[in-house]
Amino acid sequence: MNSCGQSCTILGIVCGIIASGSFGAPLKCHSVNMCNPDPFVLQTYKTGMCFITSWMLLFLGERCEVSPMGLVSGLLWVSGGVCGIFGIRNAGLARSVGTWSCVTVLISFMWGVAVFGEKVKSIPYTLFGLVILLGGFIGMTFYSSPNDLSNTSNEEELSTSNANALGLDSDLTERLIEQAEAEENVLLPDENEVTREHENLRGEETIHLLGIPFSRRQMGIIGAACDGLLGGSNLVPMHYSV
Amino acid sequence: MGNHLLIDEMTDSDLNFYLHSDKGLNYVLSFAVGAAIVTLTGWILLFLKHSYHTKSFRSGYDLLPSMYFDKIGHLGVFSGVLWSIGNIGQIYTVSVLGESIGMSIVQSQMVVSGILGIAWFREIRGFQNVSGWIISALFTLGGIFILSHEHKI
Repeated sequence: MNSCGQSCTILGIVCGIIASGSFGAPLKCHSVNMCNPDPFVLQTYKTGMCFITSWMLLFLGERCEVSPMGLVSGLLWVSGGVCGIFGIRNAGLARSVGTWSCVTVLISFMWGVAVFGEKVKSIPYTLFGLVILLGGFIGMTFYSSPNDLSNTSNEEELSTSNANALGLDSDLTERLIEQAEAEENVLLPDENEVTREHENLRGEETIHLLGIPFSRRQMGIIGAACDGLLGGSNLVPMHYSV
Repeated sequence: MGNHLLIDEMTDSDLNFYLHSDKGLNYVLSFAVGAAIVTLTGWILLFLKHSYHTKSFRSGYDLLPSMYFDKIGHLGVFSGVLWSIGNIGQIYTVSVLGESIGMSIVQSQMVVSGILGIAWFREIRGFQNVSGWIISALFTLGGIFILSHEHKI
């Protein structure tokens, strides 16, 4: 692997971008939506396959060495993943992915330049490139976000928006709503409960963190930012490995 | 002796590449073992939590979330393989290009997931949204090009 030079770097970039960008596609299939597995289950599939496939690198001539720093990276990755899932569930997929991508870029850049002293050809041009990249992320997030839920008056639009944000099948959600409406006649929930449920859907429910009130959406964005913070740092221990 | 001669003949750029790329790929195994230990610990803690609340190991085991091997096993494995390939690419890229440039470039995976979202899942609809997204993606690719060019070995 070490003899193929720049072509391996390009291959690494292409694999990193295409494979990482598409791994979520199989998880959006209908059968996954129907099962609605626990996020930790999906995380386990990822970890399991990561563990199995990593041994194949031994066939490419890599040494069989395990650094304790891998444990730190694993801890940062898994805890970041949990924060990311929290973000998706409360702030939506598009907002969360956009948030953690921006934070990851900023954090990894800070680590690289401020801590590891990585050199760039020109600081102004690098900052310009970084601004363009972040602008692109924000733009993609903006145009892929569902309409603002607080402005959505139609209940059907509201449920579809939330279904999309959670990666759920909208047909399934409609069926669940019909089922819930049928049960509503029997259960007859009080008005406050219904209002609370609608506030949840709109992200208006207030959650207190360290005494400060946050809406669910704000908490979701904080969760996604934490994922960016942890994800942007999860390869830092590699620099300290033997 | 042969190796010493080979290293002596290398330029600084080649030597840097040789040292860092080697460290990166070796780290894939450390990362995988670390992630497996952390995930396994998570399952054990979940099992102990359920067992504590139900006062029974059997009930604690029954309450663990199902893996749905028969229904989504193949999709989970496929997704995991894709992620693992991406992870190897990411670790390799970061080890060669550095934390600042390498990680930033790999984050453009958002372009790929967006293209899948538009073309396959039809998540982004309407001319304005799609064209706005494409222009933003071009900005992202431009940013990657500039950052790649600015990398100094």
